[in-house]
Amino acid sequence: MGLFATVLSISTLIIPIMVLWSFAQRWRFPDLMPSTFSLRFWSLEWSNVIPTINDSILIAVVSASVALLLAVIGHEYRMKYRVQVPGYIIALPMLIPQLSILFGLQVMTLFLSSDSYLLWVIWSHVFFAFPFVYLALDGPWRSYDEGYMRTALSLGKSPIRAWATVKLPILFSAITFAWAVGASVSLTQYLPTLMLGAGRISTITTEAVALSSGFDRRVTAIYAIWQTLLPLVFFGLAILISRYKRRPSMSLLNNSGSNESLSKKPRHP
Amino acid sequence: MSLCLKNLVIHKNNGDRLFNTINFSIEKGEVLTVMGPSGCGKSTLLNVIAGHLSPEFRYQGDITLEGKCINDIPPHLRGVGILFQEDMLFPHLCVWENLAFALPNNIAKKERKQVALDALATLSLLKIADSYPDQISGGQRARVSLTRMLLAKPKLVLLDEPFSKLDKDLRSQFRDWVFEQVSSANIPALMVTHDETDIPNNSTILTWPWTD
Repeated sequence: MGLFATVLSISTLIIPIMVLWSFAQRWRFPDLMPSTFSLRFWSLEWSNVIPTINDSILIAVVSASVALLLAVIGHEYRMKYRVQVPGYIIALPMLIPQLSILFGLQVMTLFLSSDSYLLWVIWSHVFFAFPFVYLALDGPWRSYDEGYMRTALSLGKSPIRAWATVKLPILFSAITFAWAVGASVSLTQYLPTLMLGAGRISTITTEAVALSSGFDRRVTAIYAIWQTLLPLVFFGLAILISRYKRRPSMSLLNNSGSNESLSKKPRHP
Repeated sequence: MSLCLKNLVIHKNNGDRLFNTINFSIEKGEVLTVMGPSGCGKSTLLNVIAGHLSPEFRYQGDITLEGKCINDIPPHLRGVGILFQEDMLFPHLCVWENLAFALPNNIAKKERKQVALDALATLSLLKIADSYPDQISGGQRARVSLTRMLLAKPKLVLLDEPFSKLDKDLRSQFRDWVFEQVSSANIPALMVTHDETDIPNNSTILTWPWTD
């Protein structure tokens, strides 16, 4: 607990320090605070940051959605036919050092179409995000009561309609969170973006890593802030969407008097 | 005859037989009760008839409903209503939406709410139309669940220990009400249970283990 609290507080403390750095014009070594502040670095760097953010979001959204689709198909297939790829194979991209897998991926791209950089970057992100998304959906899919599906089918609804109107809404918040997990995994990918993008695709992470070895901490701080913010945006979005989709009564449960008065009535069928 | 099972055998995938060959038929408005201890495969029998058999099992034999073999018909086209131990009301839909969900697809969208509300009115449960399943009592849920199944106009009703989750005083009343509804719908009903008190008066009984 002590260790966890320490790690957590250091990580959290980094965020305000980054913000401070990004506005610091003059911050000499022994000083506790910068002596002059400036918006210069934001305004100078902004035109470079924006396209990088756009690309990062595009890649994250596409690869998270593809990974989500594949994971849902995988789980449904497992439910239906009771066969699945063994767990350790699914977890392989998480366990093996990325560089060794990437080498294989890159050789493959050379055979297929060597100059579709965006496509291959997205493909590699899907590859690494898929296990996380699949595992994030594993619990909800296992705990879902298949009886709801059977009931819906026996009420005369086609499998696709039953899935869309019963299973999807019940598991909706789990699905949006798995999607956010996939997006944030995609946002953190450094080596895959660099290798398969051949340096032509830059995301907020590749820029931040490149800048962190540079001299200007102010510019590094701007990218680091955005690297923190983007996954936060995706998780925030997931919370908002699942809140919005959740039926209204859940939040109104306490002030709906009807509930109470009903339970007092004699219970007979 | 309305529902007819001929030489039905259910196997596990490893070849074990679940129970002896089963043969019976149920006429319209009749109730057949299959009695047996838990774990003898009663629910699996219902899943075979409804088309929900898990891939762990295989079966042989003919299932005929209203003179038509339904072996290869997908579950949503079989017209078989099934009531589980749990009420299985969809938690994300309110009571009237649950009922409207079950209505046959040819009823227009505009009318669906009215039909659902009418059904609730006959149960005198109109006041819970906008409540969600977790806000109403167990007895109300049970009644809504059966009504929902009947609104889908099934040709056959399967009951999988439908009363086991209800408390004692509720149980007999609900049981009588269920069989009243089923007989007024004039369709065959097949119930599996391990509790003798569930059996209605006019029912034929098949007790496990039956002989070939």
